[in-house]
Amino acid sequence: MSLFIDGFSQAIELLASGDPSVYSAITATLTVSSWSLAVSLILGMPLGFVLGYYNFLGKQVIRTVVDTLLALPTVVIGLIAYTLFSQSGALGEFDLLFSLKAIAFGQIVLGLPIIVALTAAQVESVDKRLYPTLIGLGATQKQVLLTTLSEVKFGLMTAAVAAYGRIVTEIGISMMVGGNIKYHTRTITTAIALETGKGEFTTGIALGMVLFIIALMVNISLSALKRGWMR
Amino acid sequence: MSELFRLEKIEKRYNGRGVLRIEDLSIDDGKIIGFFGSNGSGKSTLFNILSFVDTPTEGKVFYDGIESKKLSMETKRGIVMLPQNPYLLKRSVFENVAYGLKVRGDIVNLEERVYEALNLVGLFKNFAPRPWSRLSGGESQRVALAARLILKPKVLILDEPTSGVDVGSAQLIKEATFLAKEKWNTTLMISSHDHNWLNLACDRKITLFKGEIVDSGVVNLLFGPWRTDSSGNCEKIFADGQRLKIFKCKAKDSNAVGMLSSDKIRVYQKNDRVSIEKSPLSGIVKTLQIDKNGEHIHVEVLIAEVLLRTTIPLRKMHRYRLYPGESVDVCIDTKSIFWY
Repeated sequence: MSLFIDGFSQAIELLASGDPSVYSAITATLTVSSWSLAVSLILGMPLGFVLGYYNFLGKQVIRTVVDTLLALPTVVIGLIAYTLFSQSGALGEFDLLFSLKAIAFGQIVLGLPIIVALTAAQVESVDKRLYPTLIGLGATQKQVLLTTLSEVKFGLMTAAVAAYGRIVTEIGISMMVGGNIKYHTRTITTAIALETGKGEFTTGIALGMVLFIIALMVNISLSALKRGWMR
Repeated sequence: MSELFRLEKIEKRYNGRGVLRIEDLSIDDGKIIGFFGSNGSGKSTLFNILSFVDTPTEGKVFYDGIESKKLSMETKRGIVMLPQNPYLLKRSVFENVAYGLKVRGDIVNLEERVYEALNLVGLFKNFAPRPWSRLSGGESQRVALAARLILKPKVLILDEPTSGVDVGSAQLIKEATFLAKEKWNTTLMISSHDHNWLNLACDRKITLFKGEIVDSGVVNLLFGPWRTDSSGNCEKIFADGQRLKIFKCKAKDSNAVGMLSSDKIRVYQKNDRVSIEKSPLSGIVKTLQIDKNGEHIHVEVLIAEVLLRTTIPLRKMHRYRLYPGESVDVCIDTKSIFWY
């Protein structure tokens, strides 16, 4: 128990002291996870809409594949990304290995199935009267898409929170394609792994608490947004 | 009066099952058309096709002489439908009413126009910020209608607009609907189980049954069970024991539905000389209502639990001397029954 109390006080000390390595890890984590989530949402929501809204040949197969991808281990994604970005890999020429962009790529692969699957589930649950109502009011297909997504925005927020939680806490991808390079690709999770490996448990717990605070703030912000919409 | 809609050889099938089949239907501009028919008769499917929400499996729809596939989005937007149980967006009343204008990019004087539309359905400015979740059934229906009226449509299609709402809301909906007709000469197509309303308001009546147009007028449905005998005759026994006997009956089975135009039913004063010769049924006059043109009286007669409708020319009313609550003889031209 004292380990946690020490960790908590050290977390406050670390943050108060302005330790550049800690702030670098926090910045890297926030930057890369935000970009990954944004791209996952931009790509995932329309794909999820199509998957949930339309009936087409092979829909069930795609649905099964997407659902299966939800359980993909982060180290496997990291391994695939490493293979792609290594010098001999298909994307080796872009020289992205051990960069934040490579981590973002892996995290998008991680977050995309979550957004697609949960968006599709939300869209499938939309009231069947919505489409005739919107068309009857003169909406175009694009306006139908946007309005439908707006109608399930609470569900999409849950999807975004779930995806963000998975992205911000992953370690396999960041470690494998990021390389845990101090002041460059070190994220909070890879820093925790490093510190714990060195026996610096309190630093690890302190960083863990920072991660927890980030998650808490994200959830509080989204809850506030939801309350605003409900009003 | 110019032709607005023409439907040619329309068929709609869902998973191979036919739900609508219309050989030919023409609807004129600026009229009020009432659609009668029981649940599942195909009214909503027809309305979806007329409002271009859905397309027929086969056949062609012409609007203003142009085939539906060639119509511009702008033209299609002139036709607006209020579906049965309309959906309100999870937004405020204001946003719901303004939605149609926003998708058209027409947002000049938006606030003023939203309040004006709300006024048409008896709702006021202070109602606009209310969220969708805090509306009663009648209020939701009126907000949904306001969202259509704000568009000043050329054609307004109303699918059971007053079903499931309180009397006050129903009255406001009816008034707002006809205000649209008055103000913008909107062509109205209305389906409703409120026969009195349709009889009073409509220029033309169309009856659908099992996906087909069966009559351009008021139709009576005679439900079974039908008891048949070995000579091919059948009869329906009413709850009070009266029997309607049909000779050489063409009913397919005991649950067949007989359809009879209102002009094939005659009512006479009790023991009238003419009716006695025709072995009449005994009924009670329930309602008398004058039609839109003031030329005919719609009469509803109750025989046991079955309500039948007939029409009498106004000029002949003095001869019949009918009053609500009066017992009458009802003669049915059984040879004219059309069987389904």
